[in-house]
Amino acid sequence: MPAPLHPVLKNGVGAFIPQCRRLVFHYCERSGSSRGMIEYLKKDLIQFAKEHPHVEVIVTPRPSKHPVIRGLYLNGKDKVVCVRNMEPTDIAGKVALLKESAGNRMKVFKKPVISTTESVRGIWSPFHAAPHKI
Amino acid sequence: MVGAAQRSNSAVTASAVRLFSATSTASQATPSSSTASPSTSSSDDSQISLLRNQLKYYAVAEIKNRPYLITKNDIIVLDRLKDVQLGDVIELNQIKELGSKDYAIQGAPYVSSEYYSIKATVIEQPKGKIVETFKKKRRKHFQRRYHIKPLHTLLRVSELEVKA
Repeated sequence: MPAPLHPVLKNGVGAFIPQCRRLVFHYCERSGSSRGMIEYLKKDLIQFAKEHPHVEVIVTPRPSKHPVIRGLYLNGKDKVVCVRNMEPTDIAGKVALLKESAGNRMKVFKKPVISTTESVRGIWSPFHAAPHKI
Repeated sequence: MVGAAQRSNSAVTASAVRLFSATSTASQATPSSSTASPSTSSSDDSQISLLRNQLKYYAVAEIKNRPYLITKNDIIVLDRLKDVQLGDVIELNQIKELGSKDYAIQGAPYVSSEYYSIKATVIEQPKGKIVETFKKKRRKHFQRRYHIKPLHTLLRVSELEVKA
């Protein structure tokens, strides 16, 4: 198999790079669905931004729309979460969800270990195994 | 206690005996079974040096009472660990088996931690896709749909080394 032309990144092996690079908070100053969002922005957001210096935090009013958090990741994809009518604690949970994700689609993990290394003991072959004895 | 299993390898290398040796953990006061007595130190050294001369290793790590067969650079998918953050490095010390192509050390119950250094980094804590469980009893007017969105923690095996 030919070698890939791009570097094969294995985040966590040499260095770990957090995948979330930007969080954009949209809110409306007038509408009631943004009430919890505005409270979160005043109370908890600055503490979160200090604890995660690798995340760029942007707060922008978006009038006459529901409050929304948009997370942008290193693979270029984004995740958008609408937090209308949520309390600040619930919004903090959504922020943590976005911060800990990696930009990939939600998927079913079918196997406990995801591996690209070849098998250490090799693939079984009937010609190289001891014959079955009864 | 050394048990030998005859197993021939690929056509490239000559056929070799695959040796299994059981080592107990240092903290274990008494062996778990009569066959799992600790080997003497000299035979331990020769056994571990056999393993050290190989190229690639695997380990069967036990995390939260579940086995995971891992090599270096693998991603382990776990149920969400509550007390870890992104970037934390976890040292795995419950290793049931440490092996290579021709040799393996089976722990009794775990391999002694002086033989390996295995570390995993927390790289992501995602949410999985919705899983639906559908239960039905026919002709009994009973059916239920349960929905779970599982929470995971992904660990990247950053280091898997065999030490002499």
